[in-house]
Amino acid sequence: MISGFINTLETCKEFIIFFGVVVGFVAIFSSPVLKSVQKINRKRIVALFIISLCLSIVLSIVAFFGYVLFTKYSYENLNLYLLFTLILSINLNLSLVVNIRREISRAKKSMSFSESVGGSVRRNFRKVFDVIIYYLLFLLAILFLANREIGSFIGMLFISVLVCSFVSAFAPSFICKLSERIFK
Amino acid sequence: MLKNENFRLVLISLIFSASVLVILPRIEIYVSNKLLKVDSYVGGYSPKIFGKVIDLSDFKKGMDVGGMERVVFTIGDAGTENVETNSQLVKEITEKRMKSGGYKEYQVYISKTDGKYQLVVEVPKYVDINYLAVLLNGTGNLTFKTLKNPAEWGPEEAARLVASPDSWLPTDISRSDVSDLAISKGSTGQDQLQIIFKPEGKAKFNKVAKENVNKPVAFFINDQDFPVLIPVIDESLAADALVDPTLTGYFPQGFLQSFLIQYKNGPLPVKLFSPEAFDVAPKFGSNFIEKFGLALLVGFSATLILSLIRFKKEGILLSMSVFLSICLFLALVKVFSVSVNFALVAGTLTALLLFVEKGYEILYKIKLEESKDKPFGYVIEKVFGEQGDIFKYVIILLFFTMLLVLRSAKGELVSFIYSIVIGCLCLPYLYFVFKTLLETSGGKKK
Repeated sequence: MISGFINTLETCKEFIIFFGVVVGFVAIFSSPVLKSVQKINRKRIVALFIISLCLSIVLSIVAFFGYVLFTKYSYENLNLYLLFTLILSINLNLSLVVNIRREISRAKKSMSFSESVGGSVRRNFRKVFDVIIYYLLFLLAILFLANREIGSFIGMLFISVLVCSFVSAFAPSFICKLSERIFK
Repeated sequence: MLKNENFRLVLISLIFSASVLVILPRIEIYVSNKLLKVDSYVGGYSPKIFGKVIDLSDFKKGMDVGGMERVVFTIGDAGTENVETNSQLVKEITEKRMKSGGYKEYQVYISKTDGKYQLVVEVPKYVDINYLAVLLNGTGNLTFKTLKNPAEWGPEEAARLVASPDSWLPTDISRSDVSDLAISKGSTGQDQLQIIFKPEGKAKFNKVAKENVNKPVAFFINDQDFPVLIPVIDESLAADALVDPTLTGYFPQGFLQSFLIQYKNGPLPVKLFSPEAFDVAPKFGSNFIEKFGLALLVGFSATLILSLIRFKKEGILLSMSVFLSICLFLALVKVFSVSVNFALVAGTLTALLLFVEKGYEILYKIKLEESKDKPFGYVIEKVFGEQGDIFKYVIILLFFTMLLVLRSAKGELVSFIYSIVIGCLCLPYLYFVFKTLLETSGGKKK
């Protein structure tokens, strides 16, 4: 079962390209986008973004594996699932990063990086919760009105929505401390 | 002009109307009574844009939604030791040909029935099966043959000789002597095939040409019994040892293009026989699109209530903006002929999540700023000004990376990637609509 999973993971060519290009773009464009931010904080923000993406993906993969283990669902849509996860995670984290940039620019000099992040994360939490409910309502509508088969696939994507939402709502404080340790 | 509120509202109405007309299937309207006589229709148009007709009669249905055609070929050489290796090779070559032929949604596999190996190709119903069978069936080989009895040649004999495979003898020129093939247009616009030989091939061809001046050299493709052309060698061609011959004739539309794909991705190690096509019913049922449309409407109604509870009037405006953006999204899906399958459903939901997440972000920011007792008009300008950056970065990052990923994508994934690209195109529209609606609802007056 694990070997089947790893073999499927190896065929996720599009996801690997997508992830590589996104990380490349972020590394290249972080300087112009975050030019109003101190260099050390710029590095921390980029680290926060990339660690958050990686964490979302790793947790989503683990959740997917668990889902397959319990429901005997096939691995064949793993590539699509991972692309969906990455897009969602990019979207949530970009909003967070731009908000953090604004907080840092506005913040008093005495305010630490973690404190600046804290404000953005608190506001992010409620929004993410609403997005989860919104997705759930559409999922139920499709499940009952359209087709059960596609409903189970979209249900699988709901795992990814949950994971990405919780990572972007709860993990930034932890990732922020981690990025502060990396870039002292 | 975009600063004028009325102009923006008219523009939004026009885009919405156009989107709905694109999405709708053809609906006949027939009224005949004493007062009114109408015999017309709405939706399902076929507009001509830049000389190209865009068929909007229906969404392009993928295999899961519109059913599929299963084409089965029997693989030659059954029973020999190499049949398994050959079958695998046939599968690989078929996949390459499908990719070169521009097919995006397909499945190719080998099945074994009654000891016979079969190549199975599954494609959506909108694919031209006859062309596909020709494309996959050809071995991709090319040969030149000369007359067994050159003395019997005369222009009046041409038709008889073309229909007589026994009249020809193979030369030693084979596909291994050819370095490339190219299609060009002749002086009268007809397709012509240029054969670019390797040096040793050129020498072989020149020898054949010299031996057959004013005689035909038949050109055979795909190991067929009958020649495609029997051009007559003229003296100038035989005299020029460096020339690459060009075959000119009246080929059917797409004939040379399909041979080029066969040649460049071949040759098939064995022949394929008796293609048979079978209809396979759609996995998601016959009226999935209607059901999905209904589910979207119900989903919207449910989320409208959610937004109303959370944000009151602004929540309704957000739902309206998301609805208008999704209408534009679906219209673009139809215009760009994106195949409707489960990946597109996932893509539509992803686009919806992008829209909603951005919308909620704006509403929470507005709530926060309003709590500081700032005027609504000022709050809208400020929040949308700040959010513009996020919209810009998301669009740039997703749009360009998705276009890069599209190059390597195949199968149903293509629909997903297209849907994200289209979603990125619709995001600025969401921003524009939501801002206009908020301003119109009293933002500026306050």
